[in-house]
Amino acid sequence: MNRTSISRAGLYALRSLAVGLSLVAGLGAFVLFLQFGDADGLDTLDILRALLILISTLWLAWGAIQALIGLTSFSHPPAYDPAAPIRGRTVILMPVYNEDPLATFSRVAAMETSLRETGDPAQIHFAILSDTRNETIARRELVLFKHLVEDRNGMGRFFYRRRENNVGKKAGNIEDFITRSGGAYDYAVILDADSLMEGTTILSMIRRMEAEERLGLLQTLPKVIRARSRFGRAMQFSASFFSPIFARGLAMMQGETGPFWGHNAIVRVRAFAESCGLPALRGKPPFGGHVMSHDYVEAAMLARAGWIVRLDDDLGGSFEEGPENIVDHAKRDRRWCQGNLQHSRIIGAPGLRAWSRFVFAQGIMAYIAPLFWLGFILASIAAPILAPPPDYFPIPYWPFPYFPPSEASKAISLAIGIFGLLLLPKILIATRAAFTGRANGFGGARLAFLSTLGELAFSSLTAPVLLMYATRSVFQVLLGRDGGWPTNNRGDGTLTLGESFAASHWIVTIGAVGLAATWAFAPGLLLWLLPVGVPMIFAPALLRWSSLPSTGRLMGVPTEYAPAPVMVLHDQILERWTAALVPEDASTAPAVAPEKTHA
Amino acid sequence: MTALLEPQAARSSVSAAALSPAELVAGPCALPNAPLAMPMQVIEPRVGLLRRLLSGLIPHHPAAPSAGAGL
Repeated sequence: MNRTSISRAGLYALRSLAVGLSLVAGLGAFVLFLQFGDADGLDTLDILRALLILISTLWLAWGAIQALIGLTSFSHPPAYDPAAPIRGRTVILMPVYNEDPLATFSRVAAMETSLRETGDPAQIHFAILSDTRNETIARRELVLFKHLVEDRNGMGRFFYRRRENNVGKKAGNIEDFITRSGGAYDYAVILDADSLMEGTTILSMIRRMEAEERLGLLQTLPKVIRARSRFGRAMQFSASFFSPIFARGLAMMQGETGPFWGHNAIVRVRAFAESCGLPALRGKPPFGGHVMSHDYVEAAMLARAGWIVRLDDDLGGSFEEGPENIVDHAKRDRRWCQGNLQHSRIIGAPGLRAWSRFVFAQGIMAYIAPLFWLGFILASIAAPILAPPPDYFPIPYWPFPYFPPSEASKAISLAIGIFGLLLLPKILIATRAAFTGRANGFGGARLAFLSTLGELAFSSLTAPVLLMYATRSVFQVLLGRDGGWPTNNRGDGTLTLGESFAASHWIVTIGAVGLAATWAFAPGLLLWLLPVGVPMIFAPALLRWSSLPSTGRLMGVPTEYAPAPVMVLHDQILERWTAALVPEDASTAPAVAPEKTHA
Repeated sequence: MTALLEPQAARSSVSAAALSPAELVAGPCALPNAPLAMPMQVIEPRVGLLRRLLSGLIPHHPAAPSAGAGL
């Protein structure tokens, strides 16, 4: 199946099939649980638990079906001439906010070098849009920018501006550029401070924009690179090995209403300007104020205005970096949680495409889903306390006791089904990778399969801890606590045991109390809840252990075996710049090491 | 890759080395002046979800006929 050839009827049929199968899975779990609960008589708590398992299973099944669709299709480039001369003018935007200028500006230099090496005469400029509030870092940005311009002979092609205030955060930063300078360009490649893209990829993106006049935004699928810690490398492997398949499924279902993930994408400046002016929402944060997760909204606005928004998952050469530890991941997730829940205010906006509304609903569901699991666990612990004692003599004067039939097999079937939805897609992805040769990039079929098992074990261990962070984020947002916009920590990322404990002692408490309550009130459930409770009790050790450097071949990804050309360029430039700049800059070099924060 | 706008082409004749970082970003490397309107969009419904749900549930009675000029 090819994304570009799927008809409108086919698209609706595929979406209906995916939703239908998810519903079937959810309803199946619902019925199975009711049968299990009916063994000793149905009560309100049984029905509540069945409803919670319905929603949770439906959500899991939706993800699994997305993977299955991805597994049954292959990505193809759209129709365009890869050698056509580029007519339009492009600007590459790198918004920065208290980032390390040496790392970010050297990425710009690497991308410029990569573009230059293609020999293509396209008109491409670079603009660094600083929202940095730290004066020391801002001074260093100026020094590094001058170095960048001199190093790349970039006068007239490289631009820098720093906003006096960072109204509207990243969306406001981009908007400020568009309203001030957007008229000078046809296309804008929007990056993050940790983005890195091959020159050939950027040129392909521009040509695809020129080949399809209705294309308003083209999103690439960025791969996570340069992870060093155990957590970082597990995320990197997952993003490199599993995500392309899930993204393929997504690309098949979204039609012309694709996603925008805020970076590593190209927009048609005119379309963006006409459609994506985002006012502040009514009221105060966290639900009101500036739109935090602006990218989803901008994609929906472009689609509403009739522009095509497309995920071209066949495009390689698009990279980003990720968090190195669970605390940084939780911090980022806190922002995304608030941003996604804020979409509940936008989901009813007039004129939106149905799929855009569905995407908003998915984003909200991604963050509230852990609450359903938590609710199910709590209700299960409470059930034996609230349930009436079993009646062994339901028939008066009957001399023999009646033992209700055990429906444990139903519970076990349900558990197998749920674990199947969690595990099967990843196992199938590894299997297909072995047959198609894709696994070769991951160290061969055997190693890719072992890495898959390792990732499954790792994500099973970390899932309860991440569930707790996600739950806390949702409650913080619902209670009206604004999470702010802290700087991303990008660096070594190793956590001390003290930092780990400070960030997770409340999880230890909840885990210990939860297991003790289960042992006291529902001992039959203890075994089932150990995989959830034990990682919570050992959360500080888990945080510390997962943040330590990882060096083995397990969870290796193609960019570790053979770094992409632009990564090599970046390494060379960074090494050269560090040698040239550090001695003269040492006295003024700020502590651009990540700000220490706790989730 | 060539310079885009005429003023920038002129700017490029100035050597970066001859300028301080502050002069560079205030002068030849300042963003080009090419404004583009970015009108604000309607991104939330006029009334909230709760009010919309309630207005859908509560029956609306047509206004009573006017006792004005028609009668």
